[in-house]
Amino acid sequence: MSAAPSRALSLELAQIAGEENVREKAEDLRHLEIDGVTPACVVTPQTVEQIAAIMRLAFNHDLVVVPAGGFTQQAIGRIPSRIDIVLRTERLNRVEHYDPGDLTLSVGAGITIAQLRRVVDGNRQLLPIDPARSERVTVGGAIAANASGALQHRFGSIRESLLGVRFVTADGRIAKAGGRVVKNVAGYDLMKLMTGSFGTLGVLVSANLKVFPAPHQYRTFVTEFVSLHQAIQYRDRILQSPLSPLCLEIASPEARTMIPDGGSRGTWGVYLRAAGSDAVLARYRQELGTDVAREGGGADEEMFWRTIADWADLWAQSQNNCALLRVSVPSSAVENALRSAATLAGNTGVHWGALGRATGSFLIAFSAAESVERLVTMVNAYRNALGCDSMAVITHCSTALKQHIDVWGTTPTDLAAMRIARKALDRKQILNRGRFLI
Amino acid sequence: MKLAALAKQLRSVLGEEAVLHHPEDLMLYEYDAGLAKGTPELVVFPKTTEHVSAIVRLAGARGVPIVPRGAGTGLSGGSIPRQGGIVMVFSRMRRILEVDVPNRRAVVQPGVVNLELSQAVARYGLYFAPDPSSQKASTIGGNVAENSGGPHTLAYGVTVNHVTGLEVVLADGRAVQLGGKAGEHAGYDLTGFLVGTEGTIGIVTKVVVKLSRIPEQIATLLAVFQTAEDAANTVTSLTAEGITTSALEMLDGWTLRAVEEATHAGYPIDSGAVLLIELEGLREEVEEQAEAVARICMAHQAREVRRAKDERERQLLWIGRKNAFAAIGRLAPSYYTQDGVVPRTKIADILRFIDGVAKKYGMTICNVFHAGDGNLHPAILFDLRDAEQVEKVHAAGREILTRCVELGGTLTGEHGIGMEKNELMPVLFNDDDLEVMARMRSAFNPNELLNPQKILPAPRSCREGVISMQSAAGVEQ
Ligand SMILES: Cc1cc2nc3c(=O)[nH]c(=O)nc-3n(C[C@H](O)[C@H](O)[C@H](O)COP(=O)(O)OP(=O)(O)OC[C@H]3O[C@@H](n4cnc5c(N)ncnc54)[C@H](O)[C@@H]3O)c2cc1C
Repeated sequence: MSAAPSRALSLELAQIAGEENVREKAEDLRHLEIDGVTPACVVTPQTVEQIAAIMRLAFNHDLVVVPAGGFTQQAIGRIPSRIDIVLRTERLNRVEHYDPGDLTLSVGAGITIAQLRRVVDGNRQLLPIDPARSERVTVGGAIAANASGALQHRFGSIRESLLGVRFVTADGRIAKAGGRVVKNVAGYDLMKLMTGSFGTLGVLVSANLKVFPAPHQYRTFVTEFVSLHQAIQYRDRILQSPLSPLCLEIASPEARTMIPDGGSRGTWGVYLRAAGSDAVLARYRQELGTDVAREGGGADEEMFWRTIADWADLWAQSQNNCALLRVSVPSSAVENALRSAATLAGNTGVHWGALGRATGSFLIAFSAAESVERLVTMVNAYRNALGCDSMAVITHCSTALKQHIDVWGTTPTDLAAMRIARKALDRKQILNRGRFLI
Repeated sequence: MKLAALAKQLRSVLGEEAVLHHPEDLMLYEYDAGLAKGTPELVVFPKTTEHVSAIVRLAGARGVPIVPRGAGTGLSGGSIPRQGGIVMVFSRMRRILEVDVPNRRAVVQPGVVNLELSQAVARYGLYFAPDPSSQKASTIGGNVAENSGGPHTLAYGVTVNHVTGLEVVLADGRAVQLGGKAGEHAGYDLTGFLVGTEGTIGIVTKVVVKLSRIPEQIATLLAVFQTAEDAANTVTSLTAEGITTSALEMLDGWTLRAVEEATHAGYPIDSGAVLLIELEGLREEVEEQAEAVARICMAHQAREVRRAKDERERQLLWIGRKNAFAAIGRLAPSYYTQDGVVPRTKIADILRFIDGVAKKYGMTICNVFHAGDGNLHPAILFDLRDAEQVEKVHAAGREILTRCVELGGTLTGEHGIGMEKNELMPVLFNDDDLEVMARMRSAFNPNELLNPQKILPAPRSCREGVISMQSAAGVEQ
């Protein structure tokens, strides 16, 4: 299914970005395959102007472009029919501006979350974005996929910390929106539009972000429950208390087997991460009371949260034929959403696990040894149980499964309105053609 | 009457009393809280989303523009009709449709007044976090359209951070849903995009908002400084040292004296500037931070750091702050409030610059602003009847905003671009940036009938003419 590599195309790309930055040989492209579709070539430009020139070329010749950062989230989306150019942003990896006193920074879209974390760590500041595989996920990719992790509970997703963006449009203009300051209503908020757009509205080239003061110490409180209902009751007690934890995660018994929390088999876990002085942490102890099974801090605690961020990947690596779903439901629907998963998985003979924000945005993993049909049945039944106002997007699955099921599921947002936005910014649909939900 | 046929059609849909056309009735809808003016030809009061759709379709068929209007407290001319046509007022769509306590959401119509929503949910220990100083009057629809902020948005975020879903009527009259109650939804975040579009993309007919929990403890501190420079440096230090205040407001000497005279809130009239600082959260956290704040203030030569003893004292301080502009209004026949933003490391610089501008033009400029997020509101005192002063006010305002942008900041933090600053947009954005925004507008609003001539500058060819027209009429209070 791969597009015929066109010599003329690579020559033109080489002229723009330098010969050494264009690859068209099969062995250089194999690892960039998406759902069995091999791109015709990959280009790794060094500058924003080069990206603009590449996009103009693509636009004029109607070439399908896949913008790519760390290539960690390319499993998301429908099966592409053709990929002409994979456009890698990894060279745009500079910190362009950092004003620690203002708690703001600007970075190239190709910098990884882990690199950026190290930069702000040096100033005792906190990057409020903690997606899986942070060593490889780029800032541009995190924005495009609206990636988030446990810190979302306190800080929201990357949507909430994105102050400004620069991007290259499908027809090769370099445009920006927003700015560097924390409060700004000048012009349209294209940051929100870019967040979660999966590279269909432009190629992100830089981002301005908010950072936060880093806490002096953290503590994690692990609590376990024999039933889901008890876990939810405990969550509700926390939500109604004056406490405002950094993270509040819920983990199903199966997901817990991947987390080194020292828990007992078969129980639900609730993980609460708090920060503050000794007095503040003492208050947490007092409020959480005797429910807490274990408490941890220090380097182990750091590791523990890294594992939480990566658990779904570990699951996907260790089980074949699995589907990961990113789910978002209102807080009061979490109990039902998890209970239906358990019931339906039992009925269909599917292995499952879930972990994520106890207030409604979590990842759920289904695996069914060799049976694609059973997974299809499971995902369909699960989406029905959630209802069409909820989100249940498949973020990882086999190409075979994609042939039977739409990875995007339903959305309450009007599809025609989304098409208007898409058409405004990429009227030829050359960016990630065919992969997005509209 | 020019739009007689349209008026008749609208009356048959909305009812007789829901369509105004007499000049004396229309006059009430010529203004917002600025001084720019524009007279509508018709004013309509829809009651339902279906009404809004019908109005948009009927007006669209005749090519008549529509300007949505909440309470008209906007400061950038957002709700002013520049081309006549229809002003659509939401005072009959002010119902709270649902309060969902377990999910901390409310579904409201756009005409609901900001403070009324917080009051309605207070019995559940909840409130709506965005708190513009105009919250007693301004509507949720207006807040959404302007992406309004307020003193407490420093810690809790502006309106867009508290909206998860919308119902919007598009330019073709279709009512569409965007987002909902869940935190995230598949597809583009059109909800987030629409917030802050000032009625130029669609008309908001329903809003799903997040509600926040009232904190356990609140401490309100007043730090008194000899100079504005010391106060500004304190803001930079508080930010850098990781003190997370929920509000951090600055009032300079001019403002203090005006406020004190008007409200007797207990502001020290002989000082150079004060910081009004609020801390919220767990008791233990608030107490620790209060100590740290006092220490940092003293390190910057604060004369005194005082804490409100009780709720009465606290309310008094806030009444003083929230009515500061009314108090400033007593100092001169007119004043013009700017709304620039600078990085928090540049507050002292910009205050010095503003002082220089005041001296250069021989005018008084009062500063009362959201210091914690670098959002300035310099109020330039002048006399509207004096044409020369009007010119100067404009020039001074433009100089200040341009300097904000040079320092890494922006043209508006919360009041919006509207028709006040659309011709200044090129200071911040280049042609390509503006072209991309224009594409979004023409995609959703192809004939520019929804709030025409707002936010974006006129196309280049007509720009010069528009600027000179604006300086004749566009002074805002
Ligand atoms: C004394 C005073 C203090 C203020 N303090 C603050 C402050 O602290 N922070 C702040 O951010 N602002 C402040 N403002 C500005 C103003 O109050 C806000 O912008 C407010 O959100 C406007 O609300 P409104 O209902 O009055 O809207 P209007 O002024 O009527 O309209 C504002 C904009 O919203 C559009 N609009 C209204 N309803 C809809 C709808 N349903 N659908 C689509 N578009 C719509 C209008 O077309 C217009 O563009 C202040 C104003 C005053 C006078």
